[in-house]
Amino acid sequence: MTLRPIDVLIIACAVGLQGWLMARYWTPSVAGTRVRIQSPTETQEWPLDETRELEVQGALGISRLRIDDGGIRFLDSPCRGKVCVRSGHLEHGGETTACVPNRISVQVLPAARSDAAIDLLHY
Amino acid sequence: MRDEHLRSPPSKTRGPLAETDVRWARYAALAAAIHVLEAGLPSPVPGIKPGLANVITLIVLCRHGWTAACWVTALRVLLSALVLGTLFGPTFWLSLGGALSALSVLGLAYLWMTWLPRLAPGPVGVSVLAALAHIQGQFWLAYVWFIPHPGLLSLLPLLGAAAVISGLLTGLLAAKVLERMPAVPPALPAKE
Repeated sequence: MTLRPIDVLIIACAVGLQGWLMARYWTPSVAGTRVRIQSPTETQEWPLDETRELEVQGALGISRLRIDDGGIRFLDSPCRGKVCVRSGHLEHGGETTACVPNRISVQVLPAARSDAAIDLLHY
Repeated sequence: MRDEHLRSPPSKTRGPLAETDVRWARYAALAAAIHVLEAGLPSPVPGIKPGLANVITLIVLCRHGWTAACWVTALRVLLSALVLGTLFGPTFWLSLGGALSALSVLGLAYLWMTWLPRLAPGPVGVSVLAALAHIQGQFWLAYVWFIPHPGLLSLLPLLGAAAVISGLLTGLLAAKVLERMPAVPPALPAKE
């Protein structure tokens, strides 16, 4: 059995890809300092070091969010699956969640402009 | 004979078509058996397993083409889910998602092997590509459908590395088996 040159190239690329993924995903994440909340009508930014509850008007109704302990979470949303509520407390820069049915997205912004944590990957 | 009418009349489709049906069913049965046996093996990390049933998929792809590989894989996923009792459960959908993703890459690889045979990858390269596609398909299905949490992304390098290793292992095994198999019987129907 012979390995063709293209096989070796594929294996090398596959190993390289895993190395790149490790570098991207296993670097320590940066704590977030601010949060950006986008709704169909407005975009708001809040610091994460002050406790507050927010009510954001979305496409279906009002989503309730809470900022505390240096992070943010969805308390409730008028959607069916409650994926946003289940995604829990977000505190690292680059972490995102969204209530897609209510068209509200939440993104934690890192202290420095950094892409230490990935918010989206596209193949 | 009272039940004479129950016997099916001799059909024109019996013959070469039935022969390929039987052949694919045998491959699928073998793949399903490997899949089921492997499900009983302990795994260090949930979701990581060698995927040895893909040896059969690769052999079928190299010998009988992509359509046959699709049939054998679909039958294998269905059969093993029936035996393991996971039919239409999360495991089944993940298995199917991974299989469909790998099959689309195998389709592209098959086109590559058909059009540019001299520059095409062998079973090992194809296997690594398919293993990566399999894990990506499964991962993104799990991420979007079951656990849409950013923490899951940190599993991606581990799963990817396991996919490369299992792809290599599967490809090498398939290449060894292909070497020892006799040439493909010419009695295949023209359209598959």
